[in-house]
Amino acid sequence: MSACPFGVIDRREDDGRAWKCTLCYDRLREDMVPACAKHCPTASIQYGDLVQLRARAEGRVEELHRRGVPEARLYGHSAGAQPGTEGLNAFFLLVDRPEVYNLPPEPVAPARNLRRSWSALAAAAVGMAALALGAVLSP
Amino acid sequence: MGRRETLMSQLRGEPPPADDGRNVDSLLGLLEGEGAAQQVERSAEEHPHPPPSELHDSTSDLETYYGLPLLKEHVWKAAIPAYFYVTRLIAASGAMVSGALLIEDLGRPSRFFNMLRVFRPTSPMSIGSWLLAGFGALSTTAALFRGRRAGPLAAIGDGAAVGAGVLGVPLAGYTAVLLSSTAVPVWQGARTWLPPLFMASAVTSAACVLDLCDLNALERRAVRRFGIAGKAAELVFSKAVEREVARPAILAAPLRHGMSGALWKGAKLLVAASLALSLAPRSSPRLRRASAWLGTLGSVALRFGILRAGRISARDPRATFAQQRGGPVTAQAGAPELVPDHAGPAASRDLAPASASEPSKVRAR
Repeated sequence: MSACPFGVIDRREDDGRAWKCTLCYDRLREDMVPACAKHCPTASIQYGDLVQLRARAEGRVEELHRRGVPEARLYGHSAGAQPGTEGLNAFFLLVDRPEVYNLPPEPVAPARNLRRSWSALAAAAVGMAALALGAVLSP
Repeated sequence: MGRRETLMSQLRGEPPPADDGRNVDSLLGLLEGEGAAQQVERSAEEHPHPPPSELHDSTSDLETYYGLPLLKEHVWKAAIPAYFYVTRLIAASGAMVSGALLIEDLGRPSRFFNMLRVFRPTSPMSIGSWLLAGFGALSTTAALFRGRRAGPLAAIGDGAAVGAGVLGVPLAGYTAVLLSSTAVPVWQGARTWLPPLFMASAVTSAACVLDLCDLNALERRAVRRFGIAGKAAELVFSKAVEREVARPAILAAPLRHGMSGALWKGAKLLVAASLALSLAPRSSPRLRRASAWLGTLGSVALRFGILRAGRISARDPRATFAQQRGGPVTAQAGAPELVPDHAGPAASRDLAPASASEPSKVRAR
């Protein structure tokens, strides 16, 4: 939960397990689309093949720009646009900055920062070992 | 098959069937599988946040989504900071005790260094579990065979002591790596200096607890040196953490204000007082005990302060935005208070429309 940069993963109160959206895998098994996509009255939630979805989204943004909505943009649709996550498989078309939608503007999968912490820990570990030896060995 | 509430059952005055809230007609379908055993609980607080129209974040100089948190808070209870304290305590003392054992029994300190190998940076939680398991097994073995003077069992005991010492060192600080690999702004922001701080704090805790034990003069001198170095390092590294986190400044707010700030500052004060007492020219058992208790309290307060700061930090969407945008945002007093605004929907108009020309800077209103 604490590692999710989108604050998506949550915990069930009753059994303590962590969950996120499963894309209604029971429905997918029966060749149905997820319930939210099926149910959305404005068809804002779309489900399908990623390549087609990306193409459709890009076309939609171009059309919005043409119609005089210069703020329209895609969020997380490609690795180039969101290097911290290498792109999302669930992406958004926004007409404002991501903050306005409570989306992190530049999310990074936190595990990508691990190298620095481990190196710092390694250096500190050497220091601590030296300290322990020094304290015991010195006359 | 369960009963169903019908007009007839109502007329007969039968009590309505027990409802678990899932609204499944048991005449039409039965719940099966792992979900069936679960009871849906309606929490007293159905909507933890007031509806957006009633919210206005009056302290904010940043656009947020009505000040609602972006991240999830951690759900850790007091057991986690206590665990952080205990692992670091036993790990550091284990490292030192087993280091001392090694040197007294084998006289070969170089083997200690041979064991300090680089480990693979993968999941900190998995590494921590393995460290803890290995450390526990080895230190138990070492304790079991400690009395033996010679023979294979003594060798096994010594080997286990060395192994426990080597595992104990990273065990003392892996929890810092674990914290800095979360999305919580204040923890992520401290990713360079939090591990050294945890290590130094481990040294402090271990020295303080050892100081409370019965020691001979030689051991006491070693523990005193160990403790002084640890406390000094802890003070230096906590300053380093503050500086690292304060870019941008809003991230450091939980370390400055509120309960987490009080715990953090109190920990620093306690450790400084403990350091001053151990540096006192004339040492008495009383002074030593006082110093040890101050240091122990400081170490515990540090863990609780850091955990609390993470909770406050996750609650503040401005910290997340500022960290990711790298914008110049000043620290403000306390966690964001969500002030109900009776102006209602007017609050939403405060969100200025985006301008595509400056996407990479946090704009102040």
